[in-house]
Amino acid sequence: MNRVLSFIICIAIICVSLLRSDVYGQQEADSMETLKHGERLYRDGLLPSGKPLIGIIKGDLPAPGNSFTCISCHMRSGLGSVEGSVLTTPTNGRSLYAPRSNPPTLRPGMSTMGASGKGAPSPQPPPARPAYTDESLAAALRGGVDPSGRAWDPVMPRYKLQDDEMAILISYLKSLSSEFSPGVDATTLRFATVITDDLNPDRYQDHLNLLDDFIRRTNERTNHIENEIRNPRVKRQLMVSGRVAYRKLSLSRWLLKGAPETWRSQLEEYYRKEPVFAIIGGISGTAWKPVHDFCESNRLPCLYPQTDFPVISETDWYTLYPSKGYYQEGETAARFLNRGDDFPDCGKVLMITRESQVGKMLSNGFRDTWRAIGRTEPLTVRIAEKETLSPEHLALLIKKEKPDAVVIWDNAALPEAINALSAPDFEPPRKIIVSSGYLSQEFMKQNDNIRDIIYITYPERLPADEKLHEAYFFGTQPKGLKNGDSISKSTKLTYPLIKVMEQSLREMKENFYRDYLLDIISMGKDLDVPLYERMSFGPGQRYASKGCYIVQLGKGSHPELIKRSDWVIH
Amino acid sequence: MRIPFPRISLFFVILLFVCILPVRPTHAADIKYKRSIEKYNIPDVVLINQDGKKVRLQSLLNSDIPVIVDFIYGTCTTICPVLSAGYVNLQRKLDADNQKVRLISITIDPENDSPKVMKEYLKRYRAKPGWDFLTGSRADIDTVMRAFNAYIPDKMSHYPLNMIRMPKNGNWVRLFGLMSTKEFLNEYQMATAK
Ligand code: HEC
Repeated sequence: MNRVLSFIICIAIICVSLLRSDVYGQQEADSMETLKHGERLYRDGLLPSGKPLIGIIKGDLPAPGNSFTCISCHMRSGLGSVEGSVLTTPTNGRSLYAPRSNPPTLRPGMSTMGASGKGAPSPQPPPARPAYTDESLAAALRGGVDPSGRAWDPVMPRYKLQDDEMAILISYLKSLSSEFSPGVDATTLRFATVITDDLNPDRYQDHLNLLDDFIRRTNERTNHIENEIRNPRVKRQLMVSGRVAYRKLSLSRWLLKGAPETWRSQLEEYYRKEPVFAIIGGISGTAWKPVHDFCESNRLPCLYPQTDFPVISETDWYTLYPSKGYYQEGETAARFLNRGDDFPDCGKVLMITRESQVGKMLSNGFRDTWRAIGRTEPLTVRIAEKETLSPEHLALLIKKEKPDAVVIWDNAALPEAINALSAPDFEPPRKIIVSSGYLSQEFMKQNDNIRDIIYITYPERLPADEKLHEAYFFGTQPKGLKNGDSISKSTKLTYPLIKVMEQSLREMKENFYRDYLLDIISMGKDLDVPLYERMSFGPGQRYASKGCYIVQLGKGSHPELIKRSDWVIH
Repeated sequence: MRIPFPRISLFFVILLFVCILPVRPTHAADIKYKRSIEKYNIPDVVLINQDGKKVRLQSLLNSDIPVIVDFIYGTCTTICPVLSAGYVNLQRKLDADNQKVRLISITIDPENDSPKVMKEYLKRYRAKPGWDFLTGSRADIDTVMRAFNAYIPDKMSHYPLNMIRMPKNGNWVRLFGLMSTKEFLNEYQMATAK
């Protein structure tokens, strides 16, 4: 009898626990689903039904469809923005469900950048209000009046939302920037940088030294405050003003070994041992996609990695590249040909491209752009990675196809092949485009009598310009360099990263959310740097330098480079 | 013929009043934006529209129909949505009659704003024909901003501005600040009154 009873009890317990875990799982799935819908509402302005959210701004402007999403003003992190005279306050649960006191200045947590538009009055931070409740928040989103009775700035839309839609939105706001991202604790904010073992150490030594130096300088300031300043209010003030970081910084080096296919697991292992807040910088000579994908799936910001092979995507979020690398040269070649007044709509393009990683980036950039413009597909000839393009082969292709323009993505033997085209009995095409990046210094080796038709993609400032800006940017003697040393490209790419880091830490203050870091960078000032005419990230922009010149060679044995285009061609 | 001196100076004083002094809005209390009448010399530059076509700014602006200009950019937050919602609503109110108004948006982020970006922007706002978005070289865009006394060195120092060109005399109504549809329509009607 006893046995039977205990058996029954056992079964009952098992049943109940199975049932409960089922219910629990169901609840979890439901709340995931709610958050997904909430994210769609917040980011894309779409209701669970798929219909657009309707908002009313400035009293009577019905906001059209998906153009008026929360994210466009409150940003992805929900911590708000400042543009001209309009200040958008945070809208994450943490801020909304806490009372707000009257502001002495801008509260920590709100960006102060961009607040000084010419003629635009600096935005006034809003006055005190009690904490919201679910009810008062819903009422405010519909009616535009906060719990203190103050009407919102009319720029903040009023939204028509059903009760269930409102509940979805509110639970999303509560989840938004609610807990600090991984990589930060009470004392330390952790970063890592990635280098790959295909590189000679002198390719990355400058880069690592500069990054270490940045970390050391920042920590010295923080230590100084900790040791010297006793008054907590003064301490706090120094932090609020952005003069001192809120945490000590640390920087780990993640060295990736072997083939790129194996990097992912190495990265996972490093990250498991030490979750970092962001990857800063990093250099690879072969690939970046494994790191890019790793960052994307871990929602880990990766700032200014130095690679010729960035991942080209319009939607990926977490990696911010200095430029599109070789792809940008291909893109520029297509735009240049398209803009040329002498290149007819029906003009024929022959693209000859080596089947190397570089050749593929260049030809993809060209082809994607050429297609987007609406031109007919270029005739493409591929050369195997190890094959050479002989002068005869090139001449034969041109004779056979009679193109108006030839785009050649090749290096090694290209100058000889092109020089052979200047033979007196040969009729060359009107334009030949080559890449300075792929050819390195070889592009200077063209015969005088063919230079007229050769156009070169050149994705940096011209050397004389660059010298001028170096002096301006680095001062007369950059730190850590001996007189006469030339400044490496890696150094030139590291300086903007450090500027961005300094500025972002100042603005991020105590809000250690990765999305907020990216939001802040997207609101940063444009940088005028030696290497490029301008580096900037607007919201959602992921490649800082957008330019590339088309140049030609002047005459003589030390030809000057002559610009044939603006920095950016559309 | 000799014009008596005092009459000329009076004429200039009036002209000065019209051109330089901000015109006081009729109901200042509830208007948050600033309004003034200006003369601008439109530079002779060629810009590129959302279809990738070259357009001469002068021929686009010096028109018999009213023209409105604003400065925005494709990835902008806060200000642009409000300015552009103003354009959309004006288009709706005027029944998409593109003979009544020509809307021009000029980018302040020309490096990023390619025809593709601009076209997508207009599509997102459901713009109707008669609203063009223009980009160009940084130098040309700077020249245009300066000509409108609206030089914005950096897209993050952006501020809200609309300018309505009056077809009757080629002067511009400069409107600084964000307006509601009603205010915007009202300004449009005042500027285009015969
Ligand atoms: C066009 C820009 C814009 C858009 C779009 C926008 N907001 Fe706002 N929002 C603002 C501004 C500006 C304020 C500050 C208003 C004030 O305090 O006077 C604000 C304030 C708020 C507040 C009040 C914060 C507080 O502390 O009192 C909440 C909540 C809010 N927004 C939620 C949202 C949500 C949710 C969405 C999308 C459904 C959204 N906003 C879309 C501009 C915008």
